[in-house]
Amino acid sequence: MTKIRELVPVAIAVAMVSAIGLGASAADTAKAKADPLQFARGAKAWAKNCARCHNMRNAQDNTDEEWHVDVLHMRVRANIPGDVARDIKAFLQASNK
Amino acid sequence: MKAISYWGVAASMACAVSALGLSPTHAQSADQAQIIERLNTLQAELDALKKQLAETKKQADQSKEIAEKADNRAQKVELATDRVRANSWHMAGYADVGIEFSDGENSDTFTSGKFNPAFHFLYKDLVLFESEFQVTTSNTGETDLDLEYSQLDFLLHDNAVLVAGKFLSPVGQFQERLHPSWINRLTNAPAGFGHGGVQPLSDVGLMLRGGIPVADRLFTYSLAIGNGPRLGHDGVELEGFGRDDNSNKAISGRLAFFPIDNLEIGGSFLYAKITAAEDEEEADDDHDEGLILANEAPDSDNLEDLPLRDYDLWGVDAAFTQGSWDIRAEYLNANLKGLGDADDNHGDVVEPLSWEAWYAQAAYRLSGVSSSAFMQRLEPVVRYGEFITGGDHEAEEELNEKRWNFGLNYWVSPSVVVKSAIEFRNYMAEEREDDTRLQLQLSYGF
Repeated sequence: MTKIRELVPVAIAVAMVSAIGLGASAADTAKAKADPLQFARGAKAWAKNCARCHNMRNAQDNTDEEWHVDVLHMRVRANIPGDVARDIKAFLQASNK
Repeated sequence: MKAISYWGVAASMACAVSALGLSPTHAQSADQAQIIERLNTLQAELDALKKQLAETKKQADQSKEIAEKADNRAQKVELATDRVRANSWHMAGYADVGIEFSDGENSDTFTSGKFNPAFHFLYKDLVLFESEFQVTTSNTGETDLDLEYSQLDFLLHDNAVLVAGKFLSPVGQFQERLHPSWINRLTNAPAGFGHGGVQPLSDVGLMLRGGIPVADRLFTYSLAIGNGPRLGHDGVELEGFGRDDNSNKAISGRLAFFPIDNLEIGGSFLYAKITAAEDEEEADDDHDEGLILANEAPDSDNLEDLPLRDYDLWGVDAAFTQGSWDIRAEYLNANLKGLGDADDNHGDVVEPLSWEAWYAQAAYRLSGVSSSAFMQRLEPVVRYGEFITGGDHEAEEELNEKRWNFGLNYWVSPSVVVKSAIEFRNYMAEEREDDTRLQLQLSYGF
């Protein structure tokens, strides 16, 4: 039987990863410099990642804020790396006008 | 005489000087007049320029004011439409309706389908809360409300997300990624998948997940620890339970790799210990009562004393998506160990149970084969799957089947689809008649 004490190392590991990760995540919130290639990378990543499960949605379906949240939701669901998700988001937000 | 002469000379000189002096005086007056006239002209020109400058300045001020107003309006519009706030949210989900004709034991019926709203709330790229409900109408007319998932996602860094709460099971690919009806290429889940199947639906606990680039390829992982499955009315219930009925936790996950961009290969697992039904230990003749007892909340101490049965599941899956092609296959195998020793005549023996399910599916969008807009929206689909249980004769008769599906979809938009399909259910139990079903479904992902 797996007792609670056996879960302590797991809990500690998760806490450590969380602590490290939250710091890194906070750093990510700093305003990034404009990257002229991000749009192109995002278009490619959008076509490659989204179509793995479903049809690609029209960029104009969502506002910038909605894409901001929706792409993060899909990042979690599809295990998309954060930098790739940011490229996809930049592409969608630049294409929904 | 000589004096008069001197005076004459002096007078003459005076006259001459006077004459000489009078001429420059006259010329100087003329120049002054010209200068004054020119000054007046310049003054007039200067006044005109001043006036023109004032008008230009006035126009510039007016233009600036108009530009500022336009800019303010543009900023307001931009803020109103594209502002990404610290607390931002998004609603998504899907709904479907349908009809099914059957020549088997089921009657022809309209299906009210599902309404699955999903809410996503995000705080500053740090924490995402997401939750989805499923609203359905039961066969008896009641409205069923289920919580599909309700989870907090902590965005640790680019390659790791910590998920806490009730989440869709990461085991396999159908349940977590393909089951929404606007994504699923057919009207229902493959045999052995979905409710009552082998594939776990959800769990309550923690999950660490993410994607890691390895060279030019992508490796993904989802590792979860949760309350795990329980034994219930229909055997092992693989849904997330709000409380655990024993202290041990289930460990599950999926690892996947992309050897090429369009091909994903994954492997899944789930290990858990399931509290045996009370009748299993006490050899109660009332089988159902024992299962009910095992399914109750663990508020009595004796649940901890009930024996535990090992449950293990593994599976593999693959998906190839390129252009118009969408090809998938998935295999799951699960076992629940028995209790007691079959060679020991003194104890009560509970037989082990096993489940096995797999499917392969191919869909092809006709967008590249015809210039007709109608044809380009069509998508034929074919799927074959099997579901085989072992160890429980009743379950074997009810569940074991081979299933063919042939479908034709019409995509109204990327997220609105009209699906038609014919399904051939070949039940393995000899006494059970096969079933052919014609299905129509309209699904909308929003």
